Amino acid sequence: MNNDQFDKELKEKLDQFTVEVPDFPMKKSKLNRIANWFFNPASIPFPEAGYKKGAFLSISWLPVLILPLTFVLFML
Amino acid sequence: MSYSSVDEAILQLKRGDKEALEVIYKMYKAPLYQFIFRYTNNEQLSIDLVQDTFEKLQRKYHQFDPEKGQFKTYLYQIAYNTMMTRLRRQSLFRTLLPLLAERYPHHENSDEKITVQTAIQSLPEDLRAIVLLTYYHDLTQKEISTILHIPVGTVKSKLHRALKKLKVELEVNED
Repeated sequence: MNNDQFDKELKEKLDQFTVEVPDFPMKKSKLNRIANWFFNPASIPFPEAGYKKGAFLSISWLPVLILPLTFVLFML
Repeated sequence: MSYSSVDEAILQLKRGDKEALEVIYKMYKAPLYQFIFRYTNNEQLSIDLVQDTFEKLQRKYHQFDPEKGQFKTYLYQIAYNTMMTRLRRQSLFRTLLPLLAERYPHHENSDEKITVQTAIQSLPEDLRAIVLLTYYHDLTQKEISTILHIPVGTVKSKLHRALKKLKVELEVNED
């Protein structure tokens, strides 16, 4: 066994690092590649600015507000 | 289709049986993913790298020589090289375009798991690979030396250093 150098306490700690394997195919599809790139979590630019939950919510709802507004303005 | 051993699957692959590659994939998908995930802490990158590893294996399987070593070592070597190339590219990308690069690893686990993850991540790259391959994948020092292209003596000394560092990080008492 190659793990003899790891003492009991260390082994117990390392055993906590379990990894669940997601289901994925052997080959990449082009669609998957694009989707993965598109939905990859993006980093927050300027984290030092200290974003708040409220600001994030307002930003995420902005398209929902802008779309009907644009439609109404277009109809006028 | 099933094969009694990986050697048989390799033999069938060399004879042109493409289904044998699927069998090998089923055998090694999980351990390779776990190795890469523990190293990078990034799920999407790990999936991508496992797929890249098998894409390379499909092109290079004829280069595998059973007399030079085990198939497992050969496959981990491909995975490790692929991972290091990608990480180097990412690091360059991060240097050139720091705002667009992913900044932090994703932690979606329990506190204890995060502690171990962070401790492993805090190890220098070469030490990290040695700990992961030794502990989680039960590879011998000789096999690890082949995968990392370093002498066996270096593996031994680096493992010793890595364990010392890990014990400090995880607050494990020295014997």
